Amino acid sequence: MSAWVTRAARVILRRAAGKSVWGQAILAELDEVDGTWATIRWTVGGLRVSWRQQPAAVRRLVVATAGGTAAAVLAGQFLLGVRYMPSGSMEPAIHMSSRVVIDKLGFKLAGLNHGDLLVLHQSGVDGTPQTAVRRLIGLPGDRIECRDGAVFRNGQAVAEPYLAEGTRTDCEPYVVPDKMLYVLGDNRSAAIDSRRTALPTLDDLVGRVIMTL
Amino acid sequence: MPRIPDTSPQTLRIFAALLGDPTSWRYGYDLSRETGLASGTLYPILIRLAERELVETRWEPPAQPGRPARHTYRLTADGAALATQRLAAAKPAAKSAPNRGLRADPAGAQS
Repeated sequence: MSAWVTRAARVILRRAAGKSVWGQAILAELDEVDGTWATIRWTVGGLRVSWRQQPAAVRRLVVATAGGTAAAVLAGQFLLGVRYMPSGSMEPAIHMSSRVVIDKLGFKLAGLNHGDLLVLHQSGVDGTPQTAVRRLIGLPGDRIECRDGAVFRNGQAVAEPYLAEGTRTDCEPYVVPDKMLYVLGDNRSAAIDSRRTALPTLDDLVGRVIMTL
Repeated sequence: MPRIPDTSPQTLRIFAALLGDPTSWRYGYDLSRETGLASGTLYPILIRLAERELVETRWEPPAQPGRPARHTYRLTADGAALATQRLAAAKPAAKSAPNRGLRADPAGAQS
């Protein structure tokens, strides 16, 4: 164990030291250091010294690159994402094979609004899981029904200017249960949505569309 | 009150170690063990002292072939004078302010 740590420490310190005299000085002492823990301590200190010996410009570049990469990875993981729109179920608002930029965090802080475009996990007609973009029609407690081809929410007709002209919606009356969402595709005749599949829960939400590319 | 340079407890410990035998060349790891300072604390102080020519450095050829050459340190005449003066100044301060004196005491080693 100790010999293995010493070997690893030598490689790391040699890399870090480069041409720095003081880095080399710390590296040369490594043979004297006894014990695994002492070797690790010596190496960490040596790394700090070698780092401080680097020109400020190099340090800034390394820090900026590492920081930028970390920020980008974090943003991609938790804040933003790009999704491919594989179907025409949201025509005409989102065309097939376009890409959408989604916000993964903001909606959790700001809450959801009727009419939001959501990216969520749902099961397809044959039960296979898929990720879909759908429009939020009903929040928990809302009573959704369709009359004469138009959607009504809690007895009021929903204004849907985003639909293609002449679109008709047919659905069964439904009261949205707690923690669930009622979503519809804009392409009402083709979309697989809450009229046909199990309602998505809040846990199924991936994000909210903020931009179409 | 402006801070007096070279009065930190860590620097004083290094001064005390180097003054132990002012003419001999000391290895970094020996100094680290004697002062209880980690390499990340010890070397930055040595670097500063060397830059101001209070400490001189020398590469010592390896004792056996195949071993690396080692970097060694000792106080210059200026460095020895300053170290003596700083250590002497730290002692009365230790008596008048016991709380701070603990940290300035070179024998206080690691906490």
